[in-house]
Amino acid sequence: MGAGSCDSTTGSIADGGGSGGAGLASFKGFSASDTVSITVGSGGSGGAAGGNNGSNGSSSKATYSGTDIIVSSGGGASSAALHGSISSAGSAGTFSASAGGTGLTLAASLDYQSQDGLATRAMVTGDLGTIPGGGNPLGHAGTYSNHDGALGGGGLGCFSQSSVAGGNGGNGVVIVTWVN
Amino acid sequence: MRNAFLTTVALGAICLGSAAFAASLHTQVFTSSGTFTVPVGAGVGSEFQFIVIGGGGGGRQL
Repeated sequence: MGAGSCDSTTGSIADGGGSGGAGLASFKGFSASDTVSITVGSGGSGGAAGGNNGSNGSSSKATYSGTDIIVSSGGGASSAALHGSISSAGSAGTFSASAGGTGLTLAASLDYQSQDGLATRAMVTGDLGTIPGGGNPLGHAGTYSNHDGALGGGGLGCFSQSSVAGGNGGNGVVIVTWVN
Repeated sequence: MRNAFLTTVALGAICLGSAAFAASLHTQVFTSSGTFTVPVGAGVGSEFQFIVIGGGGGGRQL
């Protein structure tokens, strides 16, 4: 989606969607041919033209022996106006990792601390009606030039005088790495 | 006898060195849901790293 279609000249501001949760976890204790079920979450849709909220992103996770050993929840959509014509930014998703009762050992974990959607509270005029979504170290948030997030990034909040929808959240991803 | 023993030790060392050299980094990327199967040859001590990113939230339209 191109630039310039989400400008505000009235001070109205549409905040961005939150990034999906993001993080890294390492486990020991698997045996050859064990299987891990991988779920990849979808990005939420941007709000439709006419003043609508977007939808939340969905969770990505890894499930072993019936236990969710890693879960990164979906980012929140930016929502309806809080104060006048200013909306509320979407919250970042959360990250958690635990071996639970699987018999695995959690060797290391790191929460990447994904970002909430950006929010602007200053009453201004100009083209600040568009506010980027939240990012994470892997993906990027929706921006003025590219409204949709990528790899879990939140979508752009869009005030549009030409009825352009808000940006979509980026789909999640799961990456598995090992040495063998 | 002593020479044979030393030769065996030396060959063992070479084999261990080759095995360590042969190990390589593997990566599997899931952009949609699926199943990861632990490869044959992986031992209980092998470590598997997962990077997991959830879907992003949609932006509002005003």
